[in-house]
Amino acid sequence: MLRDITLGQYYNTSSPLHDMDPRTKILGVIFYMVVLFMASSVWEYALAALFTAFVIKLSRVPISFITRGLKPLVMIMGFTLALNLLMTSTGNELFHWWIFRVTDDGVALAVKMAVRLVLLVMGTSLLTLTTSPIALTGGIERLLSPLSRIGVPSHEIAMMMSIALRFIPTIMEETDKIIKAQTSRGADFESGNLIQRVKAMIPILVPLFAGAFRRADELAVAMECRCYNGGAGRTSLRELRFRRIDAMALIVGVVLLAAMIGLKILAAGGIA
Amino acid sequence: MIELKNVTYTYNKNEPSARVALSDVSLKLDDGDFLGLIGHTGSGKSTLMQIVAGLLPPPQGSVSVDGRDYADYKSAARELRKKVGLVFQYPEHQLFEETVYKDIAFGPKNQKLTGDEIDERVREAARRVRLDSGLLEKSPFDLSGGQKRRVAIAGVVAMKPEVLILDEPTAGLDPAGRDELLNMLGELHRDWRRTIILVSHSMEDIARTVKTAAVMNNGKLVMNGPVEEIFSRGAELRTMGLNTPQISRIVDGLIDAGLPLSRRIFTVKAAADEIEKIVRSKR
Repeated sequence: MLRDITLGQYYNTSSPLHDMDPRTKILGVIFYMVVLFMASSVWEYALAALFTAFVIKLSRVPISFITRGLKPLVMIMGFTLALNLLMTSTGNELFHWWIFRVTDDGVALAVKMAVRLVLLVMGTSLLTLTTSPIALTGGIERLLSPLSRIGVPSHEIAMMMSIALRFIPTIMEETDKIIKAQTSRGADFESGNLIQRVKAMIPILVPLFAGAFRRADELAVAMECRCYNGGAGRTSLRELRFRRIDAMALIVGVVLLAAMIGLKILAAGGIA
Repeated sequence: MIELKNVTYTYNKNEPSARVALSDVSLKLDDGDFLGLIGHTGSGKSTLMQIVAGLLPPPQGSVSVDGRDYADYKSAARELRKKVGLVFQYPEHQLFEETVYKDIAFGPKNQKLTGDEIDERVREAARRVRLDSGLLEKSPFDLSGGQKRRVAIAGVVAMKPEVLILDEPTAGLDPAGRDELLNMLGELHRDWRRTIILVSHSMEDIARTVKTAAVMNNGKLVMNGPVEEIFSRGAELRTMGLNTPQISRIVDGLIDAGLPLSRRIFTVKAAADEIEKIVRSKR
């Protein structure tokens, strides 16, 4: 039940994408999102889809792993699809139903938005699938570090993120154990009305929070024992380094952007 | 009576991380048994006990409860949960109520007992685990580690389960606390005549508390019988990362040195008695 949550899941294998500097990948994802939102014509979407497929292939992550991340989004996608389909009033009417007018513009917009969402989720999930949490937080720390001059605690933000990610499996395990222990004491989580069910969560939540505080306390003491005093002067075991693969990724990114702009100019020329 | 036949259990089935925790385990628990379950970390003890307590998704194999065979584990699990009370490892981490009294009363309340019955159960359980009645109105979070452990055990004892399972109940306790807890289990079994299973990897605890034991290794049940029989197979135990009780090894050394002691000594008390006998006879 709890195992289905795949937040920040990392797929451990070796691929050009795994080898890349996390900073390249973080910037790449931002870049990817910009390109995706620039897309408007069918050809531009095809280009984005082709690029996504190429990157997925490159990552060596099984496609089933990536599509699994889409499951929780089915609701949202259905909602956007319906909204775009029914609420667009421009274009030629295809058919009429009750107070709704379904137009060709609406259909096109709905399909485009759905494709955009799918590509967005698949492309961005590759970031956590190919980057270990440690590398990811390291990358974020370095990317944020220029901001530390204006008082942004970049090291602390990264440390909190990595601790939070580290403790997700631990807390899951703990939750599972507490649920079983209270079940063995006759607790019932599945019947009763809403208020009774919420009340039934108390025997799980109180020990869970107590445990989280206990762990936080222990971790703080352990960190202090090892003389942790924040980011100043800290070095890392694995230095981040831009390599050839990162330069190549950059070139691919620029080519993609150029192709996207080229398609836009072509389309504009076609109309004019 | 609970009987498991050819039970196999796999964690994360159908996933790359799949791991077989139990393979082909058969175990019969008669009413009134006082069984020790021994095994190295990761040998499958806890998984086996969770299946007996009806807390895991269905395993392969069959389960019968009180002579009734259940076609599917799900309906058996409902029955098992009613009969079996499981005290998990470090049970003090599961306390949640405002007062010790309320926490111990949680189980009996779920059993839909009347107020008077609940009160009686709570007080009896507190007495059983030797919890000072003055602590009943305190917050469980204000108690010491050892006291919390007793509250948590009392919470299951108060339900008077037909089968009481304790998973490593002495882990992290000091020697005095351990002695007291094991004595308490002995008394409970003597007075209640209900099934108790003590899961442990401490041979000392097993030797001094129970008469029969089962040994698990790599998800398999490899030995099952009287404690003396199990401890007489020291070499086999050692291949599983286990050992005979410390005192048995000392006695073995004394025998090799020429002292006429029995090979069937597994507790410090028995060793002391035997040695005293020899010393007296020599005077």
